Amino acid sequence: MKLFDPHVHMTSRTTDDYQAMAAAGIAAIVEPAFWLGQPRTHVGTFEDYFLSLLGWERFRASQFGIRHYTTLAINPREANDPALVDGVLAMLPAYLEKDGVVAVGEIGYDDMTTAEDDCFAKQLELARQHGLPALIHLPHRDKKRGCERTLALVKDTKFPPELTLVDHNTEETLPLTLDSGCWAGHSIYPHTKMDEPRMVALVQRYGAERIIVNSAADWGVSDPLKVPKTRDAMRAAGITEDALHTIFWTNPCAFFAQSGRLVEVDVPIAVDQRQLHEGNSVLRGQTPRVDGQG
Amino acid sequence: MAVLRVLAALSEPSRFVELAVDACRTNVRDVFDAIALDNDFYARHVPDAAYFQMVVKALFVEAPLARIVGLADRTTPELVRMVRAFASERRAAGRTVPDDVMLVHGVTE
Repeated sequence: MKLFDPHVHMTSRTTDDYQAMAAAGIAAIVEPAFWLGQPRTHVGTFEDYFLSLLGWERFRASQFGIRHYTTLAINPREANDPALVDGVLAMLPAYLEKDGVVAVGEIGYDDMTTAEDDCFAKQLELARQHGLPALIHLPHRDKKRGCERTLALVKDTKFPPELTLVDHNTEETLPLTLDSGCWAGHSIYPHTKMDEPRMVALVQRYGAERIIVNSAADWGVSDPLKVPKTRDAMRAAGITEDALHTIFWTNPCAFFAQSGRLVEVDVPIAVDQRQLHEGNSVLRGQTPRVDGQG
Repeated sequence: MAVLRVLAALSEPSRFVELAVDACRTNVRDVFDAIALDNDFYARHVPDAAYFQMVVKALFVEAPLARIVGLADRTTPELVRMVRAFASERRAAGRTVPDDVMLVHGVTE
């Protein structure tokens, strides 16, 4: 079974992770732009970050047989820094036109400040102007209120719910998200946001329609194999293969395909580690893996 | 971190509200503790919305609420709602609720 991890921050992960993910069946990933663990101090660092998501990281994934797509935005935390917001918002339109950009994201709320309101609404408008879906991060603190405020903003701005993926849902936010017509993402984390048994229970209760599961693995304690592990837990609980295929492949494909840029997601990559990206290889003198030869 | 601890003692401390709120967004625990715990800057100068976010973040990272200055005086029905919502989310997830939620007056009534 092919698997899709529709939210994983590979820039923070190792080549061992790529190898393990590919071996576990992960064939496609979406890497949203987010904050990097400490605040950035220049607009230009966002530009280099976007370029690496579109260039080097996409290449790196391909070297391990994984299709890499990205979503670009200024994230909710850094939306509170007035020295960054205007510059990043001015730069974004050019980058939203690039191949491989399948949504605007992660946008949404962190502290639920008025600065976040403004940045969120402006980026939803950018998504509309560029014909892209939106990937929305729910806040960790006061999450249910944050979800209500998020869904109200989506409704008030008349952004189409079918183009909206609300991520990091919990037991208390999932019914709100599903009722709104938006897609519902779940980040499976060791011990916190959501875990495998809780995700099994949610699917048993709400079914597979518009349900999406991701690892949200990043630079913190997280696990880039949470998508296959959650699939295994669902299978062990008797959830049908049809439903598994829907949740772990069809749904993320259907959502991000609305961008028109989820190209060749169904086509396996023939790995050729002799390839270079701007003269650089992922290898350190090892023998290149070349699929289809010897 | 040292400067965060003495913000309230500097002249015109209200200049530093944005700095303090920004410091609270950190994921570096020592920085968070420096501004949130045993420090009267938040109690004296930071508006409710940001003060409440700090309290809920303290619950998230399991920083002791007993060391937050001014908690009883700054507690309003909105903070009580937020802390109850935090406890409800934890229970819905089958996770434990930290005992410190009871330090917010009104949460258990």
